[in-house]
Amino acid sequence: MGLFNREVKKKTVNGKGNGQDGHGTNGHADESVPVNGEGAELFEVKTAQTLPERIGEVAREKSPHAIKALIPWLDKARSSPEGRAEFIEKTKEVAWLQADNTVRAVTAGMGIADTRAFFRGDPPIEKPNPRYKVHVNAFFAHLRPKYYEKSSTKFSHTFGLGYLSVYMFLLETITGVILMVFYTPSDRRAYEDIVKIMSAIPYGQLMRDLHRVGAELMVLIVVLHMTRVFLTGSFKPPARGFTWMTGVVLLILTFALSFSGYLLPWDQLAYWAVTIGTSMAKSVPPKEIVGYFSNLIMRGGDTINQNGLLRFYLMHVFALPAITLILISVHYYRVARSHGISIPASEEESPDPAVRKAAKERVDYLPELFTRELLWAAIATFGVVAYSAFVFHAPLQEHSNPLHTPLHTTAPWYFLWIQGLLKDAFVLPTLRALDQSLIAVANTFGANMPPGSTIIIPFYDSPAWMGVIIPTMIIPALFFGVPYINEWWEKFWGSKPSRQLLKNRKGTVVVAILSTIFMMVIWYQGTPFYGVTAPPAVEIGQVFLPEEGVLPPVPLVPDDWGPIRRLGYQNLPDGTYDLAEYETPKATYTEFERILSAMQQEIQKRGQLWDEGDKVHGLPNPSGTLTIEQWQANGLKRIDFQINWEPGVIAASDNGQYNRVVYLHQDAIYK
Amino acid sequence: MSVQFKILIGILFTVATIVVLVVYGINENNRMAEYQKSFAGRSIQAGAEYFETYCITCHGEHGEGIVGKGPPLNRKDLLDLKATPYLKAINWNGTTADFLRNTIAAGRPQFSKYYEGENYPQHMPTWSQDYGGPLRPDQVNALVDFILNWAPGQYEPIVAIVTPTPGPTATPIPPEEILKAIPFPMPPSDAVIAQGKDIYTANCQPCHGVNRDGKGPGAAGSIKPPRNFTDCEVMKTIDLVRHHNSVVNGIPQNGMPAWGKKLTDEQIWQVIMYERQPCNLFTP
Repeated sequence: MGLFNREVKKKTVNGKGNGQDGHGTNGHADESVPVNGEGAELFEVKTAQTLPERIGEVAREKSPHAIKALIPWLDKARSSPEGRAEFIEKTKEVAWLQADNTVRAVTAGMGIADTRAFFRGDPPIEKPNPRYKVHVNAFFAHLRPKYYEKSSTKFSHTFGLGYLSVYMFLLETITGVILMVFYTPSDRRAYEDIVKIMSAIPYGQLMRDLHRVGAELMVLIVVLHMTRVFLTGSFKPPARGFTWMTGVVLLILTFALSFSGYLLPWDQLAYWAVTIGTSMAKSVPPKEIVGYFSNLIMRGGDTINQNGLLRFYLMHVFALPAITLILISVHYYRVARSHGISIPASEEESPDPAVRKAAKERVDYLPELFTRELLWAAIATFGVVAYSAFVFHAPLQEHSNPLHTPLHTTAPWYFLWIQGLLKDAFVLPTLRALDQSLIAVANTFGANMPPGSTIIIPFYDSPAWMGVIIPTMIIPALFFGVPYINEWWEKFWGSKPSRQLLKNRKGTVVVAILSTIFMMVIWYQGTPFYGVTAPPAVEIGQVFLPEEGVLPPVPLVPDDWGPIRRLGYQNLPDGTYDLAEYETPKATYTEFERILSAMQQEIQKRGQLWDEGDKVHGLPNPSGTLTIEQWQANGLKRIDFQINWEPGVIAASDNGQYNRVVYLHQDAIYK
Repeated sequence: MSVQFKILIGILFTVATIVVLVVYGINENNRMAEYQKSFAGRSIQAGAEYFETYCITCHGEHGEGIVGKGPPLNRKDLLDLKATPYLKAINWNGTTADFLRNTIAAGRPQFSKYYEGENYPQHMPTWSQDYGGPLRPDQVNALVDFILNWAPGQYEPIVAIVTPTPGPTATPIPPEEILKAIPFPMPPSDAVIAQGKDIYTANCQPCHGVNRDGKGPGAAGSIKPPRNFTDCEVMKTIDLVRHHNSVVNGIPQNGMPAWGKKLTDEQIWQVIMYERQPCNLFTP
């Protein structure tokens, strides 16, 4: 260590000297050697010189600087042993300088000894700190601040969520570009291309899974990042108000990026999730103009077709990433250059000056935070790759079919709250009750309105309010307004501006808890578990043989194909099974028989519901049959799940029978 | 955490990621082969569904063919993929899959010479959207996959000429019994007409049109123009027996499907009443 230190200090003085005369760090070590760039001398005939002399002179002139610097010591080395030792010393010196300069060029400022200290976590050796030089010289390092305030780097303060959002954006870009190579945005080829990516391209499935996992995580992380910023009070004006607003735009862009990518696989899942998501656009008031045109512009037609697919594709791979990149730059520039990451409120507002001072201690980005970020990237990459490789696979269901809406199809999970609002559990029931009482009042005055007539409801446009106006209000008004409403609120009450959540922002806690509960409730209402309208027999069929095209309401959960498909072709014995025989499960039952038993119990439950008076979910005297037939000798079975109940009881034209028919091929994987 | 420790852990995770990728890669060829088979299997499944929806009315449930409608598909001479006797007989140079795909997509405007003297009077309609039919290219491919999954075929082509037997549930009602067969009093009540309208909207409207004038969007693809129920001169010549027969058994040579299996008898009578309403023809 001592040796390195000594050597370096000496060399640095040399290096600086060179830097001043304009050669920078490129190795012009010895100023005594004249620089001679005239190549024409090679062809001049000097009669006094012999040919070997001439070659020797030209070689000396044309040799690299490092060699040239050693030439004066050559003769000494030839003549005496002391000269030889001196020559070796000089060679070491020159070689060191060369290597050091090269390392300086590569690391954009740090010499060998400093690079070594960098990786050991030692403090910088030279002065001024060469690691700051890196921030000036290198492009990517210049984007980052030279140092952070110590407390702002606490994990429990930020959870690294902002960094992870950018990591996910990069992951999405890389995997996305790879997927783009194999994908054609055409309604005829898109699905086929995805099948090809999954079945004919090595690591194609992994790329797709990574892209999907990254997308879901990105939405999740951005939302969590925003929540963290809100709870720690790191959004407050004057410094951070605008940064928060760019963050809101980035949240919307993240939704848009994820949502526009949903359509591209062109399967039932994609098609209907996006159809539901975009159908909101239709009801933007005034519907006849704005709704009509926004739908037309988004979908390129009345329904999603080739035009819509191309539009979504271009949005997904070009327009949205470009805008997002610009917004990320703006957002990050403000964090890095304008106000930095906030430090925890309890330390910033601490009455103890020692705490405040310790919180603002400097932590250099290089190497402390740089290595931490790389460590995070390594852990995140491992996590995402392992999860995509072994646990989660992006779903691909049957080809999109505009003529068939799958039962219980939903919007993507992060739009379920809008779908929940669309079911309108709050306003419509209130208006109905209001209508009823108004009619009752009118009737007492002799208006004689027939039952079932309405007064207010025809004037209330539920999809427009619930699907468009309220969500639009929630996102920009509430979120853009948060920093400024907050400030105004504090001024109004004359309270001291403070960022401490539990101490001075009790109102914020209440609002946060209430709005979280509200969001969870409407999110739940958006799932198929709430307000289901399908007939009971269809619901039973859906449990055991679900239709393709149903998204799980929670992200990153594998698809559910129902127990029968999961059991698989091999374990389904042919035959006609009267489910009544499997009423009570026995210990000796096989997996298949246990499913039959579960089917019978589900059917009986519907019968009980009917007997208890639930005419919506119940069935009168239901019974079930499962028929499994070998349909083709080459491994195709036909599964017919038939449910019968008393005909003509539910409605006069009801024939009391429902069949759910599914074909199952031996090679089809449902895992 | 010291810098060196972070670097160490970071390298360990990077190595772990590489190990995961290598482990994943070892099985990649098997996985791709399995997925290829899986998607082929799912295409066959989808094909079976489409076959049930579109094809069994003429070609039979198991592709055994229906005399008076369409030839068998599940047959030895067509699905012998090596010797291809059928393809040779009709001078087809491509593969069986190509032949099937072309036939399904573009239909058969002319009867095959191979069937000369046989009783398959139905023209194969065009099915692909490319030729004005209802199916997407992937659906046509799925049908091809399903049909090829029969290989080797089970049935011999039917050579014997059999007298045409109409549709699957041919039970013509004698004229004197007709009023007894109708499950509601005549002339029909408004409720019956309304129920008939619902059934009509769901099943008949695509071809016979919203206004019952035979000008629905599906009319363009049918062999003969669908019946115009508002043309009273013609409608007078169609009695209840004939009308009922046409609905139950269909008129295969004109492109009218048979509804006897899909609708109940009461529903069929209701829809007939709705169809006869424009000309008020409620007597036998």
